[in-house]
Formats: sequence, structure tokens, C-alpha cells
Amino acid sequence: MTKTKYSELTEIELIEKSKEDKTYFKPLYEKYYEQIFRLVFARVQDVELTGEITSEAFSKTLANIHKFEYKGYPFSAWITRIAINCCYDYFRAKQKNRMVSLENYTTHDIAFEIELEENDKELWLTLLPDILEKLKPKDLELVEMRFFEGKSFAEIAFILDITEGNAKTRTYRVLKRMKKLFRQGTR
Amino acid sequence: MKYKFVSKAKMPSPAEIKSTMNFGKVVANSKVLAGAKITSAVLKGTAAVKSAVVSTVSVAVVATSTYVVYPELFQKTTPEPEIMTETPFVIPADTVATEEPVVVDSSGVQPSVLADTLSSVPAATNIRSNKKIPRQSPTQNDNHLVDKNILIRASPLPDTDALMSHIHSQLKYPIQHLGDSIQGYVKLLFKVNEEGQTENFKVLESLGKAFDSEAIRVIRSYKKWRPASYNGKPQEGFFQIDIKFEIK
Repeated sequence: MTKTKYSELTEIELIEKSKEDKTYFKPLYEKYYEQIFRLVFARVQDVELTGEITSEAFSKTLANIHKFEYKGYPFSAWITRIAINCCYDYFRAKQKNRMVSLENYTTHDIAFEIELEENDKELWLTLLPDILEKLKPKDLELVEMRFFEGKSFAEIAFILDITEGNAKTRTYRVLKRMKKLFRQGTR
Repeated sequence: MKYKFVSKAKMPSPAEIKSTMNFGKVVANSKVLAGAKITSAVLKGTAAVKSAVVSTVSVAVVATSTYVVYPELFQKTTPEPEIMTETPFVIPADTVATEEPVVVDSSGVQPSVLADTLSSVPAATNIRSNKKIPRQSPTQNDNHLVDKNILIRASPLPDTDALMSHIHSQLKYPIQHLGDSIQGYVKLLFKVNEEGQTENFKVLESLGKAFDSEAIRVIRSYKKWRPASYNGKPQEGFFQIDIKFEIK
């Protein structure tokens, strides 16, 4: 008996089949579209544009799907990596700036890492643009993916093409730097 | 500016997201991408980019006495430019935040003079400029001696009074401290970059976190600054200001 319905196939089977027949990619597209859309939207903040970049990312994924081999990382991480690179291609080509939502930086986790007290928050928000401006895009990605998108270091490392140890070290180094800049600002 | 800041991220609705899905286009594009290495459709300029973003960063440039803060500038200083400025740059610094519907107590204002030692920031600019610009001899113009090495300090536009009245109207006494009867100054130092934007705020004298952030907020909200310039070229400059909080 041959499996014909998409729902009966596992993700890996679907990927294998997509290499032959592109219509098998559709369930994967539908499954991950929203996730990737939100990821791109967080960086672009424009529905129409996000749609185009996301679509671009999926096109690239499908065009290169024969290169995908399962190596312990989920398929979604691979698409994410492509999508993030698409975003930065776009920023570079169009000379646009990456959007940063300040609100996220007052969340519990970050406040804990920076050792913010409750009454520091207002000042933190005020100084934040200056502090973030000093960080490299990759460092900013590390912090955002780790704390706002809740990804594991292993996944982040794969997405940004660095080692897991390096991802960990860099993330905490960035936090330390933000903390230092904040203390300097309030001095 | 590497980033644009928004205070709160928008959340697209699932329906909006669904409406942008188009599997056929993805398949078609993927065939194109697989066939030839061409640049992406997005990058070709079809995307009409709406800048739906409000930048929260404002910029200001000001020149101040930076003897204390940037002593190293002095050590590096080569001959100082001769500057045709008659009076030191003075900011009659203070605004009053009242807790009642705003009444400005002008009598209580002590003008704090920022004795602008014309050397500090100019010195920094001088280091750079001296390499490229040969010193020009003074020229005679309308019976006035004019030196070509002219430094103009960063200043608010159109004038200092406008900045003062902006602070008057915007500054609010932090409500949570109304009971504590705290009065005094917050002394701020900040940079005005070449584009006339304020950055690198430093609190030199603090009254408390709430006061500091209120003072920074108000200065940040003032966007019209003329950057410092040396021989007509915009330069980074520093600006120092005292902001007075007073309970009436």
C-alpha cells in the first residue's frame, strides 16, 4: 500500500518526497508559515513586506531542499536560518534598519539577567536605545532568540552558524555588556 | 543608526498572516531560484516599504565644558584653534517643575552658567582637523579680523529660549515623589552627533532615578539641534544642562 495522503507521511518523508515533487512541500509550508512569518515580522514590522520576505525564504528553502539532510536539527531551524538570512539580505540591499521592540527588553528574564530593580525600569527604557545601538546585529539576535523567542542554544547556534559553546558565551557576554553600559549611563 | 526602535511590537492577526500565503508563488519562485542564481524579487524593489515605525531616539548636540569628563582630550591637544566667540556659551539653565497646574516660578530660577571653556571639545575636533586643514592666516573682512579656524558649538534650534520653554512645558515632577519634597538639579551631559541627534546621556548629578529619567526624557524629546561645527564641517559636540525640579 502506498501512502498518498499528506497526513500519513512523517515530516522527513515529506521532505524526501518534496525533493522529487514540489507539491509535497505544501503541508510543510502550511505548518511553518505562521512561525516564520512572526519571526520575520518581529524584525520588519510590516505585514506586506514580511509576506514577501517570508515567501522568499520558502522559495529558497524549496529550491535548495535537495541539500537538506537530517542532522539532528529540526527542519524549522533550517527554514529559520534561511529566513533570517533573507531578512539581513533585505536590510543590506535596501539600507533599511532592523526593527527592535523595546517593550520586550523589560520582560522578566532580561530584567533578571541585567539585575534590574523595579524602580530602575523607567530609566532602563530611556537608556535602552543608546545601549542597543552599540550591539552588533548578531549579538542582538542572540539575545532576542534566547530570551524572547525561547530557543535553545543549540538551535540558535545552528541558525547563526556558530558553535553552541560560542552562542552561550556570547549571549552572556552581551548581557554583561548591556549591564555595564546601563550602569555607566546611570552613574 | 543600525536599528529602528518601536516601543511596542505590533502583532499580526492569524487572518492577516493567512492572507499573505501563496504557495503557488513559492513554487514558481523556487523554480526560478533553482534554475539561475538571480537576485530575489524582494530585493529588486517591488516591495513598497512603508515605514510604519516611530523612532524613539532623538538627537541633540551640545558643547560644554568637558574638562572633568574628558581629560584625555586635553593631553592630546595640539594648538587650539583661535575662535571668534565673544562670550562663553551660557545656558540660563533652569526650568521648574511644579506639582500644581504648571506655574513657572521665574524668580526661583538660578541661572547656572556653563562656563564654556572653549577648549575641550574643540580640542578634539582640532586633532582631526589639523591633519587635513592647513592653518589659514587670518583674513581681513569688513574691518573685522576673521580667523578661518572657527568652531561653533552645538546648540538647540532656533535658540536656547526655545529649548527652555520646551522643558518648561514638558517637564513633570515625578508623581511618586510628590510626598518626599525633593528639590534640586539634575545635571546632564550628552553628545550631539554630526547629524544633530542627541545620544550618550550621562547623569552627572542625580536626584534619583525617576528624576533622572524624566530629565533625559524631556531632553530627548527635543529634536532640533544644530551640531557643533569646525570650519563649517559638522562635528560631534557635548552639551551640558542643569534641569531644576522644584515644588511650588
